[in-house]
Amino acid sequence: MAKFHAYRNLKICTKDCLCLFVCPTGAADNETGQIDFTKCIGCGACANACPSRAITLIPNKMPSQQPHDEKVVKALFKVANTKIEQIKILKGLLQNTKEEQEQKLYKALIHANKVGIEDLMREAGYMLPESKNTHELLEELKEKTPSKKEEIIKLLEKLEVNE
Amino acid sequence: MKKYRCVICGYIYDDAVEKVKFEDLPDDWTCPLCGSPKSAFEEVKEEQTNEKEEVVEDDEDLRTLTNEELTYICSNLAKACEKEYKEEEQNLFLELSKHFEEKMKIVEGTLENIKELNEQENKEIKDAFSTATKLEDRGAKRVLTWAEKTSNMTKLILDNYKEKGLDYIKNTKIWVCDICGFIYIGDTPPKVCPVCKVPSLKILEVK
Ligand code: SF4
Ligand code: SF4
Ligand SMILES: [Zn+2]
Repeated sequence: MAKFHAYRNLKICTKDCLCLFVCPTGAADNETGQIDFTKCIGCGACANACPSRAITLIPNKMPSQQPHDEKVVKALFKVANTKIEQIKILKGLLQNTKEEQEQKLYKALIHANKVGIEDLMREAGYMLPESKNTHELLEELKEKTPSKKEEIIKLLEKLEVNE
Repeated sequence: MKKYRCVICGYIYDDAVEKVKFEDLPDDWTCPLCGSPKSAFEEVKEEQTNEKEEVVEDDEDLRTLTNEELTYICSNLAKACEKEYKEEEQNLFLELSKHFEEKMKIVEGTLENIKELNEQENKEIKDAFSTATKLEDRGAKRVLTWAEKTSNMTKLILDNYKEKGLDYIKNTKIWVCDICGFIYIGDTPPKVCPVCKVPSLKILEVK
């Protein structure tokens, strides 16, 4: 199986069409504008030829996540939870003020904390959607979150586990 | 001759090359790179005491994830899908994140409470960093370095707001870097984020 497939960023593509000429399989010439992933063999000729650097080669199989010691994971979660506590209070403050500028400040602080928590969660074992960890989490949520079961099943189907 | 470092963006003020000694700068002097106040600078000690390396034990067990944790695990996975150009998966994770966020508890509290939590967080980051150092976990160290910057920044903003009140944010825009969480208060955001160096495209105005 091919290791990569080409992906065309349609926001950058200037439709110069060099990729169409160099592609050995015709995958780059597709009515949808996107590469035909079923034909693409990941040779990279299109990416090299593209004058707009609009094509990226994406691995078909993501490398596995770096493992983390449980002690590190715990420590990261601890920090994340202290940030979560701040968000909970900030959300309360946000609800209780009518002053527009104050609302903006609280929103900014919520956003900053959110970015921080997401980073921490990434390193705490949820970096890749294709990881075993994510897969197990989704399996668990499938039962516990009946109202979102459909979405979760779709994710489980679409995300092939890489490890 | 001393050197000082901005704890938010890392800018170095070196007495040896500047005309004015750091100590003699006026109190309203601000970091030329990120605009943080003079109080955000700390002296750079030449013989840096070795990083603390010790595993900080914590006997709390990993338990089932809370709605709050799930909110951000899912929004982070959505970001990861976006990077892989998996748009449908991205939207599904965002939907899950929203679902859990709606269940998130809201707590009555004050800015004072946040300040206390911020101090606690700062200490936890240091403990986590020494654990990660001891266990040679580069990824964790990197993310904790960012976390420390946002934590320092939050402290400065809270202090400023406490001191100046609404004047601090009156008649101005507020921006957040979507990549690292840097908050900028002012009319036009810097061209690149002074902390993580992404272009201003990723610095979003809070509406
Ligand atoms: S070569 Fe690049 S810019 Fe031209 S059509 Fe192909 S992807 Fe688009
Ligand atoms: S990687 Fe090769 S096969 Fe795939 S679209 Fe580009 S040129 Fe065609
Ligand atoms: Zn940034």
